Amino acid sequence: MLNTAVSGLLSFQRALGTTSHNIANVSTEGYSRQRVDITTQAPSQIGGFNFGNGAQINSVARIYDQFLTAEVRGTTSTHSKMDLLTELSSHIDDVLADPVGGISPILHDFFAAVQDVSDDPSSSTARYNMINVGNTLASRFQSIDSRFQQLQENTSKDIRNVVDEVNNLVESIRKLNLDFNKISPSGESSQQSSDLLDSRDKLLQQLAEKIDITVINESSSNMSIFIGNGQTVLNGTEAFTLDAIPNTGDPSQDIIVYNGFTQITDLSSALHGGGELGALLEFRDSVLVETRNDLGRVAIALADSFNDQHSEGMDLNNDLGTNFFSFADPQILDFTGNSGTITGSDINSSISDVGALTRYDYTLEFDGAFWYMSSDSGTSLAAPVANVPGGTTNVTFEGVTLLIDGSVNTAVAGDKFRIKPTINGAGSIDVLISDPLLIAAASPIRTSSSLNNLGTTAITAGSVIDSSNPVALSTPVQLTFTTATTFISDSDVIVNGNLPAIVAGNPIAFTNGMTIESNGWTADISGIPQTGDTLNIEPNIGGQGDNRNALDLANLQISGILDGSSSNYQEAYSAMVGRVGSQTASANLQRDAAESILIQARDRRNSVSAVNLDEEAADLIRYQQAYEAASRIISTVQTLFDTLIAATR
Amino acid sequence: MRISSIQLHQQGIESFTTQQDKLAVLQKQISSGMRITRPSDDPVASSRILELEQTVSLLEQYNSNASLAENRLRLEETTLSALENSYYRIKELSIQANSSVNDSVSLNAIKSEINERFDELFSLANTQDSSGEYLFAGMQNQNESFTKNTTGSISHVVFNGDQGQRSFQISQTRQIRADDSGSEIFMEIPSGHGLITDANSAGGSISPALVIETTAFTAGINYEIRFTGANTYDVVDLAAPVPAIVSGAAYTDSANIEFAGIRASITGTPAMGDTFTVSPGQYRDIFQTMEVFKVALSNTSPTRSDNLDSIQADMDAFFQNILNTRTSIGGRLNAVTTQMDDNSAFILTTQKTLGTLRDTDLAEAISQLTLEQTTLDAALSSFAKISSSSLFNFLR
Repeated sequence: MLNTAVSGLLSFQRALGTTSHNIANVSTEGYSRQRVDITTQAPSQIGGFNFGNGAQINSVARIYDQFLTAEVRGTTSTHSKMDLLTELSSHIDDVLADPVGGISPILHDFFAAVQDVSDDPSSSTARYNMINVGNTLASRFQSIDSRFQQLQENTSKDIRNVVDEVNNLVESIRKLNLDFNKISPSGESSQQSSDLLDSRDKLLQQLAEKIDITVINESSSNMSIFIGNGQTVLNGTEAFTLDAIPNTGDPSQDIIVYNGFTQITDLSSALHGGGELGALLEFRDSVLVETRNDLGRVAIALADSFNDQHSEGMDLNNDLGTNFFSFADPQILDFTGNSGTITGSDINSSISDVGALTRYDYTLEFDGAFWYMSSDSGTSLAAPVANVPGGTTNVTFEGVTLLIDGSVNTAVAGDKFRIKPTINGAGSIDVLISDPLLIAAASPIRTSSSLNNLGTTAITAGSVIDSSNPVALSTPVQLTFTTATTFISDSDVIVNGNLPAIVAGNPIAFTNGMTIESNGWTADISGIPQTGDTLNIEPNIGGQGDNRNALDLANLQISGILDGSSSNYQEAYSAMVGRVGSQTASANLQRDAAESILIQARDRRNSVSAVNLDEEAADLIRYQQAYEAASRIISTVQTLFDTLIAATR
Repeated sequence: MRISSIQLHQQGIESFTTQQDKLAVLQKQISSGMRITRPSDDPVASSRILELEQTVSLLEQYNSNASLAENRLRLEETTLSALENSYYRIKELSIQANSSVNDSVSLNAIKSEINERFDELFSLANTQDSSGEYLFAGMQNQNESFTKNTTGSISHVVFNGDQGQRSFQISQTRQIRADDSGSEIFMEIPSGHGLITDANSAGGSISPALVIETTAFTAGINYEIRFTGANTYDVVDLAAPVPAIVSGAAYTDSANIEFAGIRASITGTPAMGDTFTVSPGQYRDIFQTMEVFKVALSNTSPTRSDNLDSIQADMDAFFQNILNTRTSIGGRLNAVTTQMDDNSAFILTTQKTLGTLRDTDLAEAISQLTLEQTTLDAALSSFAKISSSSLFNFLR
C-alpha cells in the first residue's frame, strides 16, 4: 500500500513538473506542450485476485502534429519571401514616385527651359538656364541610378549573407541530428529529446525563412532536407554547403553554387521559390536589373535623340551644333571561360536605334562561323551573322550595333560575351556643353526669294535633314528660273524625294508646292515664277533670332521616340513606374495572402501544440489534489501502522 | 477548438497592428491630401498621373509661350499703328504739295517735314523689342534692320535682315509667327515705278534707280548704260538699241545720270565695254518713294503734280501693306488668345482628372478613419477583457 501511494506520489510529482514546464514555456516560440502519460503498474496476483499496484509514468508525450508543423514551415517560406520582396521593391517604388526627387518633374523643367530658349533664342539667361537645368536632369538620373546601384550591391551582400546563414543553420541541424543519435529514446531522455525536437523544429523554421526547403523523416535522426530541384543539403548527419560566387559572364551578379556529390554550378534559377534568398534573387533578376536598365534606356533615348536634333542646329558662333549630352556605350563583359583572343575591347558597341532599345541584357555567342545574339527576354537575332575573318563583323540587334574587330584577335567556337546596352545609361548621362553660345537654337540655313523677282515665287524656311556634311550644308545654293516653268540649281537636287538627283545646271520642271532636297536640307517652293526669278538658300550666318531648332528640340518632349516611336520620354518613364508599382503591389498582395495563410497555419499548430494556461491551471489543481490524496494515503498508512504497533504493544 | 494562450495574445496583437496600419495609411492620405503616395498604391493611376502632370506642365508652358508671342505681336501692332499715323501725315503733305498755290517757302517747309517723316519711318523700321532685338530684322535681329547708304549721288536705305520669322509653340500642334519681316512691310511695296539696277563692271557700281519724272517714264523697258570709253557712255533701250537714247555722254563719278524720267548714279571707274542695266521691278521701297517725293518738290507743275500722283499711289500701296500686316497680326492675336483660353480650359479638365485620380476623398477617408478607429478600440478593449480572465486568478 505504501508502494502504491509512493508510485502515485512520484507520478503526480512528475505530472506537476511537466505542468510547470508547460507553464514556464507558455511563450517559448515553437514549444510543443508535453503531457505525462500515467498508467497503472502491473498488478500483483494474490490468491487468484489481481491487486493494483499503483500508477507509473508511461511516457512524457509531446503534443505535436507533423503535418501542421510542416504547413507552418512551408507558408513561412512563402511569407518571408514576399515580405522581403515587398520591402525591397518599395525601395524602388519610393525612389521613382518621389514627387520632388523623381525624374518626371525635372524632365518637365528641362523642356520648359528649352521652350524658354525658343521664346528668346538670343537671351543668354535662357541659354544658361537650359544648361543648368540640363545638368540637374543629368545628375538626377545619376543619383537615382546610384541608389539602384547601391541596392544592387546590398542585394549581392545580402545574398552572400543568406547563403552563409543557410550553411550555418544546416550545420546546426546536423549537430542536433548527431545528438539524437547519442541519446537513447528511453526513460529520462524522452523529456530531453522532446525539447531537442522543438529546437530542431525551430532551426528548420529559421531555415525555411531563408530558403524554400522540403523535409523528410522529420521525427527521426535520419532527417533529410532538400532545396531547389531536389538537391540534398542535409542527409541525416551529412551536410552539403552552398556558395555564392560571381557569375562567369557577369561578375556583378552572384550565382549560387551547390557543393553536393556532384557540384551544380548555377542553382540560382531554381531557388526563386521561397525564403529570403528567393526574394533577393527574384528582386535582383526581375525587378532591379530591369528597372535600372529601363531608367538607362530612357536616359539614353533622351540624350541620343536630343543630340541628333541639336547637331542639326546652329549655335551662336554660326557653327553646327555639337552633342549636348554624353552617355556610355553598351557594356560588354567577357565570359571567364572564353578561349579566343577577342575580348570586349575588340568590340565596338553603340546605340544605333533608340526606338528599338529594350530593358533587357543580351548574350553574344560565337559558334566558330556565326555570331548569335539573344536577349534575356527570349528574342534572338533572326539570322546569325557570318564571321568576317580578319575583318569587322557587324552584329545589329534591337537597337544595339556591335562591330567585332577580328583584324588582330580571333574568337573561337564557344566564346561568349554579355552585352548590357543600357545598364550604365542613367549613371553616365552628362551635359557636355557649358558655354551658352554653343546651344544650337537656330537652323543652319535660311532661305529667301530675291526682291528683284518679277514673279511671286516663294520658298519655305527650309529644314535640315542631314547634318553629317557641314561643308555641303554651308554652301549657298541659288535656284534660277530660266523660263517661267523651269529652273536650274547650282547643286544637285532631289525633287519630291525622287531619286536620282537632278545634276546641278540641268533644267528642273517647276510644279507649285514641289519639295526640293539638296546638301542635307529640304524646302518647298511655290508661286507663279517669272523668267529670271531667283531663290536663295544660304548659311544662316548671324541668325541669332532664329529659334527653329529650339522649337524642334522642345517638341522632342512630346515625340514618339522610344518603343518603336510609340512613346515619348515621359510615357516610357511612366510605364516603368507603373511596372515597378504593379510588381510591388503584387508582392504586397501576395505578402498579405501569405501572411493570413501563415497566421492560420500557426493558429492550427498552436491550437494543437501550444500551451493553454487555464488548462495547465486545471491540471495543476488536478495533480495537486491527487498528490495531496496520495500523501494522505501515506499518512493513513502511517496511522494504520501506528495503530497496529499500538495494538501489539 | 482548443485555443492556446499564445494564440489569444497573437490574435490580439495582429488585430492591433492591422488596424494601426490601416489607420496610418488613412492618416497619411488625409494629411497629405493624396490618395496615392507611392506607385504600388495604384500602379495604373500612378503612371497616368505622371503623364497628366506632364500635360499640365506643357500646357502651362504653352500659355507662357503664348503670352510672350502676344506681347511681341502687340509691340509690332503698336509700331504699325505709329507707321499708319506717319502715312496719314505724309499723304496729307503730298496732297498739300500738289496744290498750285504753293510757293517755294511752303514747298521748302513741306520738304523739311518730309525729312522729319523720313527719319520717323526709318526709326520705326528699326524698332527694338525689350531685349534690344530688332523687330523687323527677321532672324538676324542683333543687327540694325535698316541702314542708310549712299551710292553716288543717290541716298537709299538697305535692308540687313532676312525673311525669317520667329514662331512660338502655343499648343502641341500649333506654332504662331510672332513677327513679320521688314522686307515684306517696307521693301516689297508693289509699284508701277519699281526699277532694278545691275552692274556688269569690275570698277564701277550703280545705285538704285528712281523714277523722277513720271511723264517721261515708260514702264516695262529694259535700259542699258554702255561705256563706250572710260569716260563716255550711251544709254540704249535693249529692245530697240538703235538709235541710242543718250549717246556719247561724259561720265563723272557719282554724278546723276538721267534718261527717260529715270535717275541713277554710277560711282567708281568703269572701263570701256562695261554695262549697267536698269530694268523693271515689282517693288519700290518706301524710302525710295520718300526720296522721290523730295525730288518732286523741286519740280514745277504739272511735272510735280504727275510725280506726286504716282507717289500717292505708292504711299497707298504701302498703307495697304501695313493694313494687310495688321489684319494678319489681328488674326494671329486672336488665335493666340483663343489658344490660351483652350489651354486654360484643358488645364482645368486635366487637373480635375488628376484630382480624381490622385486626391483623397476627404469625406470618405474621414468616415473610414472613424470606422477603423472604432474597430481598434473594440479590439483593444476586448483583448484587455479576455486577457484579464485566467483560472489562476481564482486559485487563492
